[in-house]
Amino acid sequence: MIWFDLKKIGIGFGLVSLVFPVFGESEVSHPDFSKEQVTFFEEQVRPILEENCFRCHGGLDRRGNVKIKSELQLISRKGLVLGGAHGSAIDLENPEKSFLLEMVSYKDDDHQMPPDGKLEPEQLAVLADWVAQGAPWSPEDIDRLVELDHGNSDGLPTTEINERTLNYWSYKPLTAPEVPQVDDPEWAANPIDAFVYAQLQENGLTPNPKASPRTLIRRAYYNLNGLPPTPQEVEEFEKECDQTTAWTELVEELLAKPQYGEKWGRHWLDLVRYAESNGFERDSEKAHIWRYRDYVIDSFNEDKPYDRFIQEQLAGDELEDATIASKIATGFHRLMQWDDEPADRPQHVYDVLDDNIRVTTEVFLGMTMGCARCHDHKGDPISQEDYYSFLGFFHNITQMSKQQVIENLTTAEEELKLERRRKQRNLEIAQLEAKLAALESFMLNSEAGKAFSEQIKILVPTARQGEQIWAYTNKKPADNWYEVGYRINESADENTGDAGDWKRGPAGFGNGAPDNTRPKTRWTSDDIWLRTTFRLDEIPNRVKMRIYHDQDAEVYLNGQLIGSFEGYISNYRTVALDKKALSYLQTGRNTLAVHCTQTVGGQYIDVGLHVGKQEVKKADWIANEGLKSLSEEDRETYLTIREELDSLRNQKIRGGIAAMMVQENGSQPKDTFVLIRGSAHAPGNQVEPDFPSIFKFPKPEIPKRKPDAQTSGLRTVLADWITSEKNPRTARVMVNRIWQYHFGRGICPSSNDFGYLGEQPTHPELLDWLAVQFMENGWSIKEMHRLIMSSKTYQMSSAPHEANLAKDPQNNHFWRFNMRRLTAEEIRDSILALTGRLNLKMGGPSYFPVLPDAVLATSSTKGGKWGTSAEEETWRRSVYIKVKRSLQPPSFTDFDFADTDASCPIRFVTTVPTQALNMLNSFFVNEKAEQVAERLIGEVGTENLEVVVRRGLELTLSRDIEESEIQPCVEMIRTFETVHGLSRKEAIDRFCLVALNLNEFVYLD
Amino acid sequence: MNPNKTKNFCGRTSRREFITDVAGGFASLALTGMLANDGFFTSNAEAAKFVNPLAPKPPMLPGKAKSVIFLFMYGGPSHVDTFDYKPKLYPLDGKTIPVKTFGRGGKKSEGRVVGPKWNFKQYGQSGKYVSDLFPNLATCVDDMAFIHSMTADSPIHGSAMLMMNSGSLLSGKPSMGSWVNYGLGSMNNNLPGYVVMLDKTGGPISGAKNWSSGYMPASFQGTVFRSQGDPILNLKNVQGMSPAQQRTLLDTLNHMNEGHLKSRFDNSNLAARIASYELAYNMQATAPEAIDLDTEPEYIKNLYGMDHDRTEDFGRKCLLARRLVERGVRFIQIYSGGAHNDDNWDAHGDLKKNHDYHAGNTDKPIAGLIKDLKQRGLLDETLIIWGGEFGRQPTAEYAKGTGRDHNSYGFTMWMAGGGIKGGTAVGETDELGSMAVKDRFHVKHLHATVLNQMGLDPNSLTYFYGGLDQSLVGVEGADPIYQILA
Repeated sequence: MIWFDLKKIGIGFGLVSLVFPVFGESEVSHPDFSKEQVTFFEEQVRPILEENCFRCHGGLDRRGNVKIKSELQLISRKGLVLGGAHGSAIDLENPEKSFLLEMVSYKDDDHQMPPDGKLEPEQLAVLADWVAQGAPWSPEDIDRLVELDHGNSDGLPTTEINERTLNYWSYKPLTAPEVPQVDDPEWAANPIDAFVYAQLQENGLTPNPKASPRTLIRRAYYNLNGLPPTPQEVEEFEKECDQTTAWTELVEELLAKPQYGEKWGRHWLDLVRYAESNGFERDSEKAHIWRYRDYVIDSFNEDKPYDRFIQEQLAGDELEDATIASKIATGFHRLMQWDDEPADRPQHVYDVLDDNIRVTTEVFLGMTMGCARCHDHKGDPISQEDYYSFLGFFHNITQMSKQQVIENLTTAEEELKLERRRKQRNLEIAQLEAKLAALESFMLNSEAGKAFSEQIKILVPTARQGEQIWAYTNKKPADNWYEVGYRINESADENTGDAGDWKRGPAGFGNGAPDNTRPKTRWTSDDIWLRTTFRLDEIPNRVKMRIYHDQDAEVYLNGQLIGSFEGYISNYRTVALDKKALSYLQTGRNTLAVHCTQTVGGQYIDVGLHVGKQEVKKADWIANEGLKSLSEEDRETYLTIREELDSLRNQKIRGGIAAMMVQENGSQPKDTFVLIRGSAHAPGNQVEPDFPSIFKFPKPEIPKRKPDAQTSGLRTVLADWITSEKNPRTARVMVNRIWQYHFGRGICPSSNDFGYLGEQPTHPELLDWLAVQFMENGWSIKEMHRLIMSSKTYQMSSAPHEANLAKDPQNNHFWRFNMRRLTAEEIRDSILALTGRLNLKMGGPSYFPVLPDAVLATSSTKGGKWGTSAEEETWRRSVYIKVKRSLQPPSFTDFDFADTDASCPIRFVTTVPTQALNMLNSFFVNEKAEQVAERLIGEVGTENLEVVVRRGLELTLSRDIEESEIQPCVEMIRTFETVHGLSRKEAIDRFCLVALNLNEFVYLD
Repeated sequence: MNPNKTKNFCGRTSRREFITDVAGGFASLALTGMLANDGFFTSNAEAAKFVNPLAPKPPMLPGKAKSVIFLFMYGGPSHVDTFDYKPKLYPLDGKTIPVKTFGRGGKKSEGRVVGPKWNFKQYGQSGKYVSDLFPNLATCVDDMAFIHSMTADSPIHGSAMLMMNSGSLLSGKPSMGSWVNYGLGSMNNNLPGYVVMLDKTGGPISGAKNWSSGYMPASFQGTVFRSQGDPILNLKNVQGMSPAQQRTLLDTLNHMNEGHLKSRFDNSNLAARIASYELAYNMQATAPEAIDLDTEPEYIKNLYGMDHDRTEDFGRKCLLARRLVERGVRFIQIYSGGAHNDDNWDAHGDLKKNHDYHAGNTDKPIAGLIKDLKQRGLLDETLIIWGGEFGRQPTAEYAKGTGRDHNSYGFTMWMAGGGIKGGTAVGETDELGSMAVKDRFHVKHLHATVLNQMGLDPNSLTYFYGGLDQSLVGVEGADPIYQILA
């Protein structure tokens, strides 16, 4: 509908599978039109509509598909009257105010139809005439409408709240299902196995046998720590694995290692699209955001209850028992991409909010709420109103800014001490300032001082400073009277409601009654509207306003409000323009507009602007000239005080740590409106913060907050709802993720979407049972690991099985364990581990691995602002590598590292030749192969090649090596020596390179 | 994806259906294999042997073009000084007039006109006006189609670059080359299907985000290709590793991997990984040959301006582009200009100096590319696109000087070859060139035209992500620019 809107991320689809004319439902009555009127319509109007409107509004596009944009159909008078997303297209009461005419008028960016160019003036006249006649139409298709068919078999749409949607597996409340009885006692011990086994039996499938101990220990190490076991660890486990406790002990040991938090924390970082820069042109740093990464890792290591983990990220600053960690957790709200220079600022504010709503709903609730930003969800019962009600919880959060959002976090005790020191310092400053001010005032009152004080550049003089001619009127002008484009008029304009009557006269305006006024133009009515202009050659960085208002005044600069003044004052006062107001200044012509209202007593208005003196200039003047007027003693005193002041002011009384975290605009939440078609420029109905209505929760109580509270408390309300045990999604979604990270796919495979466009769970009862269990165990994630890993299902072999493969090739029923490739990080960390130099130092700022020049050259800045780190730092685990949105290590991008622009619930696993090139030819892998060779030679020497190869493969594959595997490698090493003339060390380097490239090294059974 | 089936709002109701659809429809087993690998299945008997995700796929519609060469004039060339002739703008030079503009300096309602700094002459059968900046390109106008009424949503480089490349002001969406390769695959296994050549001064703003595959797998992302030395990262063996050594190494690796595969015969990913090493090996042999210009005769090199210092670099890249097209690469993007400010077309200061420099570096090479493709009969199946992320304003940005600020309200792009009607022009800006007023087109229409010429239906080429069938042209859809199609 609105050209402007078409550019947004709108999701309106007008393509239909079945189209049929519909008559009925909402009836629209039409007047009887005369034959002449119908002929006029057919001959003059219909061709215009057909050519310019039908294609998108009810007619067929060039490929013969029906399109109905903005739900508006212009193919009949009925369509016109019923209207679309913006209401009726015609206004039968006031035809000239019809939306249709407004849209074709091209009056501003938001009203431009048809989008490819304005209609000819004659065509506009025909349309105006036709609408004025009440939009006559031919009787045969006066009621014609087409309808979209969404193809629901039972007639109950999935996009509404009804019997069908309320009973959908993921919308209905969670209850613990009964564990099935199975005949095999081995499969009955762990309820997980009972569920899986029962389903396997039902489908005639045989579960795979238990995997070998070596497979199991490798599986467990990578699964929980993301690192390989050492050969000794494998050997020991193999010896003990007959004891029933061996496996449990292994799992406990791995859960207790700090590397567990690094592995599982990274899963979470994928979900919240963690990155340490903002993206776009400058791709600037998200300062201190690595503390959030450390917080996540620590939380997993501590086994922080998942409900608490959610509460801290959403509202850790508002918690009663808030800690520094819980405040750092709210960095969650600052992780999104952010354009510091967007084309459309108001719109980008909502882009950022949308990004956070998507992540919040997809990650915590398995819900694609982002789809309802521009209109109701097309697959799920989520309305656009639901979306904006949900947005209400986030709306009060301060916007991102170039200064960024950083706080120094301290403990209460620390804070008390700091506060005492600050107070003391401020007192000292105040005393010194008073002394200084006295001396300065003496200097400024000298002859030279007075001359200096007057050196201000006047842009708009007040009545005292000179004469400024203003346009003024006492009669109400049109609503846009203060805008730059407004044209002043002597006569009235009915269309805009402008009373005109503009005149010109010098400021100030008043009746001469109040003190200190200098009226040059008489003003005695209640209201006065004023406009004047001034020119600027360059934008000054400091502008001050002189104003005398009696009474209320509003001041606009270039169409933007820069000041509201209530009541009256009895002399001129000076107000410095703030940053925002300064940003409205432009070179060339500027427009200043003032509205003043009078109720009682004397009256006067005068406004001036001048470029303020630079402080530094005043300081310069004092240093060079002013001091001359002081006695030598005073001069000494002055200079000493200055020095003391400088040092006091520069003294930073700060403790604690800096972190990027959430902040709000005070305790009063901001009003929220439905944005029509998602446009920040088209606010619709106001909404209150609320939960999605399909969940049938009572409306939230908006917390009553003290006026001086720093936040609205709304995020706590949201966090409480999400972590409520009655929320049907939260526990289901998380146990499904845990399952997915153990088994390679979730019980519901679309782990970020439990809605109608997602996939059905393969084991819905098991999922519900796990979810209930999860909550009963106090939302403990480690308990879930224990439960899952102790199952037979987890310990099955991944080997193929002919009969099962034929029946269930995709392993939908979990008759085996799924093989998987290592992730980008696991490959890199494993290689580092093999060199024996892996640096297990945890936490802290991210490090920069060395990137090839060719990669750095892809950045628009020299070296891509990529830093350098000490060599030992680059041997740390991959989770600590700098995550920069526009520049990533090729080994990450080649091996399907998580996208940083949207939540990544499942990593891709692609297989392409560039991966092979990386693993064979990159500097990193070759250097590491040499280091592995050095380690190998250090352990077993170079004499016996069979021993070298055996040990090399043992290290890489964590298993016993067979004779048949040793010979080919030994032969290869010999060929390198004899045929290619390499030294033994070089030949062993090559062998190690082969070992790192083995399928068995990068794929887990 | 059955072209005969019109779709409802998303064409289907679940991801599962999508997969079935693809398997039975246009996309062949290749894509099934790929989807199998993205975590929805961990194995798939149907895709039991390796299929390259970039294996060629038949187009959805009969397409005219097989390859695209996108000549990206990064920074935003001024349309009123290049191809959009505005005779009334010359006499206004220096005058301050009311005109609505929006650039990095914000929204303004008046400004000082900078008259066009070059003269225009008519050329060819079509009589198309071209400025003196492009004496060589001017001789090709009868093969070119101009869109004078382009509009974009942002006059700021960061977001405008993302929009021109991926259709969205925000990052995270696949770029046009990714969509083309997703829809059609590559015709050459030994070369990447989507190649990007950067300016020697550096990459554009946002770097790799401009050729990212966004929410699609990384196999569809652009590969940075260097015109000299090692064309692709890690293509060259490390020091001391001869091809013969590498063969020895690969043979052992294959032997070991085959052994591992025996007891895991059903896992297609393992077979795929074995095959990918052979593909990489072939690529190492093929790619250097593609950039070896020694085999090109002198007169051809001269046609591209490789005999002059100024045009040597861009000429080499254009000639390389032709060689890549001949070898079946689907999508080639060449950047004219890199880094910031006057290293690209972003003429905020001295317009004359900036545009003389960048046009002078590229005019002959681009004309050479068109002529060479034409004489080989390749122009018909190669779609060339020329343009920046936006144009420039008719008025000056500062109180002094000739610099122009950005302009996304109206600008010019042109296309040639690949089923485009030569010698045509569509759309108009107003008399000042400040904004498009007639037959306005949006970036998405340009994208729709490219997909359409490649045989892809812009409104049906979709990828299911985030609860939605995403497309390059956006869910509202967009038609190609029919006026310039042959």
